[in-house]
Amino acid sequence: MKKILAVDDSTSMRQMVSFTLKTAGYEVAEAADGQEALLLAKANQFDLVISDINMPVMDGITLIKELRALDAYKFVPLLMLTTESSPEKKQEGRAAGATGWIVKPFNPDQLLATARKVLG
Amino acid sequence: MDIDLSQFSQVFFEESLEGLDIMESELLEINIDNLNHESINTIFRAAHSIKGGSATFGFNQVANFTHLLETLLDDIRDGKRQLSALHVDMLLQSVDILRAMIDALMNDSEYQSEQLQSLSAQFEQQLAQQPTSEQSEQLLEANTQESEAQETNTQETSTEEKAQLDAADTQATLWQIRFVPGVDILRCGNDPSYMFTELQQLGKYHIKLNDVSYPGFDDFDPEVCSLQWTITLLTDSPLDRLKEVFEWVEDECQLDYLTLERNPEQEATWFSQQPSQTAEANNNDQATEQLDLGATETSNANTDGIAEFDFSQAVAEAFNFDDEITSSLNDAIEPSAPIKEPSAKLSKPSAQQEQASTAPANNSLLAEVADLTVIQAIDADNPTQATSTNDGAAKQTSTATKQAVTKTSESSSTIRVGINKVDQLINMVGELIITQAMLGQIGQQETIDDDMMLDLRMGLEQLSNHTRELQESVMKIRMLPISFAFNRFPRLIHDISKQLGKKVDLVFNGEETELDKTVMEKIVDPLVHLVRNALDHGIEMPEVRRAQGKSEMGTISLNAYHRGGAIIIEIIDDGAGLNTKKIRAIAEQKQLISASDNLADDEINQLIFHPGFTTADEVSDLSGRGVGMDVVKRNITDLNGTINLQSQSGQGCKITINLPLTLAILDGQLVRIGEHIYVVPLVAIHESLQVTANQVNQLGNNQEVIHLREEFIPLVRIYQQFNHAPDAKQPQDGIVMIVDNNDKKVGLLVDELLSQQQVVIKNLEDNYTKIAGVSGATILGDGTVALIIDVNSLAQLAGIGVNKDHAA
Repeated sequence: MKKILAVDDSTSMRQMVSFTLKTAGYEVAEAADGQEALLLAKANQFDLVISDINMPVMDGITLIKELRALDAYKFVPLLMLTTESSPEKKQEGRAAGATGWIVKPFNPDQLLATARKVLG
Repeated sequence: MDIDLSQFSQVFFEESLEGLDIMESELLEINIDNLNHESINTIFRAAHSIKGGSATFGFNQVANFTHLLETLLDDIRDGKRQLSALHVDMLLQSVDILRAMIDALMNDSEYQSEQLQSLSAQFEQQLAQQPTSEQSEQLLEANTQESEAQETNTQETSTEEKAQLDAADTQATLWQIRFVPGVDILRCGNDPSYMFTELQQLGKYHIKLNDVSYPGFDDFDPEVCSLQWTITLLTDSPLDRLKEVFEWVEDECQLDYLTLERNPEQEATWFSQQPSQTAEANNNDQATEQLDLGATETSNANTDGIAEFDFSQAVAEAFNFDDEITSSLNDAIEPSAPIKEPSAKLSKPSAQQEQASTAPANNSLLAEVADLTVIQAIDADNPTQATSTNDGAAKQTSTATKQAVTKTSESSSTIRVGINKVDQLINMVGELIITQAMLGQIGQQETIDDDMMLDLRMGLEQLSNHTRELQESVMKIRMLPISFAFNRFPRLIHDISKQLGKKVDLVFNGEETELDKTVMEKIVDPLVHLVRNALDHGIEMPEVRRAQGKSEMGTISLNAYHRGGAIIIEIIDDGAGLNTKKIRAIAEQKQLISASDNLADDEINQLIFHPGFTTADEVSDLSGRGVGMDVVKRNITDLNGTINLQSQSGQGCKITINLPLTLAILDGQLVRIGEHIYVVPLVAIHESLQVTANQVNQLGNNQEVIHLREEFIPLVRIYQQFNHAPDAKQPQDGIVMIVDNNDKKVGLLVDELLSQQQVVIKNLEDNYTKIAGVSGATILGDGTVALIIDVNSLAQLAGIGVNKDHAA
């Protein structure tokens, strides 16, 4: 079973992402900020990380940078979950090593389609 | 995928309300001249989360409005715009509006207000002002693009459907896409195979690996992508949709999109390969034949320096680090290529269906498509169907949301409890179960010897310890820091002081002091009233303060602390204090006191608690001190609390509220009157004593008083009020408890003092009916019901109240 890490400081959003992915048969872990996510990611190997950008303690961009620097996450798809679809934000994410982004709002189908796209 | 988003609504509402509280408190503390970046970040994050959630869960009104806030905050955060006092004000108003919106959603109604429109207009006006005009244009553009993209999506879907119906692809375009990925593409987790898979779903598809400068084994770096491809695609999808596939990597790749003239022969060659691989399930022989053909073609092509083979193979090659491309080409025929997996088939039914219409000559294909159509019908998750039903799904979701909200609003009163408190509770229950098991074992014995008796006693002792601890843990769950009540005051002070033109500093002490949730809910209104009064009537205008040598900035302090089993809340202002002369004049006018009464200032000041008493010349929209003070007092008394007032002219006013920590449990003194047992709240008791006959004096109207240390304390014979037969008919034969009655003392005559213990309060009104003189009931250890005495109403019952008789 593919393991996905969902990172968002908003409980409702995290629950929605997690629930949707679980329903589709993925194993999902949740984290409320970048730091929590990083600890989890080091302790487990995830096949995909979906992270919000704006979060307290450690934001999503920093998280992606940190993850990408780890050998275990060199090629793992890291997706940004964001309402900001401005070219600068996307560029910033890409520079940090993000694979791509899902723009909020999204519905469960869009989320799953994107997850399938990168998980195969 | 059919997911009911409404299941997340309640969490979203709670979270949004929390976010709004955070926004509000940050906004109130913000210093425009010396902006704290983290504070703006926090406000932005809250607005941002609300927007993201509301848009996702289908609350568009909230989403649209928060979008305005977010845009403004983003500019401020990025330093593109200067935060102004106006902005803070607008944002604070937004917090109110958003709260109202969410409340409305929680109650399944719609929020409507002109305020929303005017504030939205104000935001738009602000945003339209430079320096962000450029940005907002961009935003607009992005929005249009987004909606256009959505339109094309729907168009695409409908075209797809049409194509299926017509079984013709005359409208399809033949695209040639040259895809030269940047060398770093793998390093950001992008894999060209994702994109190929996605393209494959859009139409008929053929991929060719271009001649590449393959570095050879020695120089091969698996992290570097050194391959490039040409993809030929026959599709109805517009260019935008094709570009979307490469959206994530477009900046790092070279991508050329060319339209080709349709050429049936060429197409037959291009597109014959791919279906042959998926066809094996239906027609093995034919598939093998075709595959063989494909293999030959490929190896031929390779001698020309052009490899032509399946994309998945190409990617597999790149990742297998195999320098012998030709040698492994045969592997392309092996059924291991991802495209042959059933999931790959399922994920591209539309492509397959289309193929059926374009290549009707190919029998095996038709058979395959028929098969796939069946699979598609079964598989509700397939992407094509999902897009086409998007609209319907959204509608369903919104109806479902409404239903869920109705469901949840019925049980809207929830409590957030720290996990450590719950853990503690679970621990205690665990201990209790162990003790129970131990006692159970003893209980099973037929006879009990001395040793076991000892065990039994120990077990019972443990049981009582655990029960007490469990009780404490349970009580803690209902305890919240008083900051929950205090948190609303910064905003209140901000608004009122602005309205009145006063300068006030609000100081909190002991915000972390915990209080039962039910008490908290009931104390908030009285507190608001008192704080508002302190600001409206206590704190003077800045110029008046300056003239009196005080600092222009007044101070209102809210203090909370525990004392004994009670919580003390103080509201202290350094304003003008009460106008005792005026209060006296009004009291005389209302004939509450007579001109000849000799009263201390303190006693006169207490008169503002008298019902209907007001000192305000005109009742302003903020209440006058006195208006409703009786209500404040009654509310506090109903909570078994007391309120006390101290005022000093020109120095300010201090109001002290004394409340029990909880309404569920009470520290009580058990007393006996005849054969009846009553509970007197411990907080009310000053002292208990035996009096002598000469300490008891008779006043007019049958009122007895006890003379105690220069004080005359009215006496209530409880047995008379409740019609009991007592042991002691005379005060000197029994015990007199001196208890607190609205800051005045009252003596209660009882026969005997029993133990002191915590009692669980049972509401009499719910279970029986309201009884004067009694505030509730409890069940004692032996199972009997004992009534809890309400001193104030008992005193009233006995004809003792706060009136001039009593004051005299």
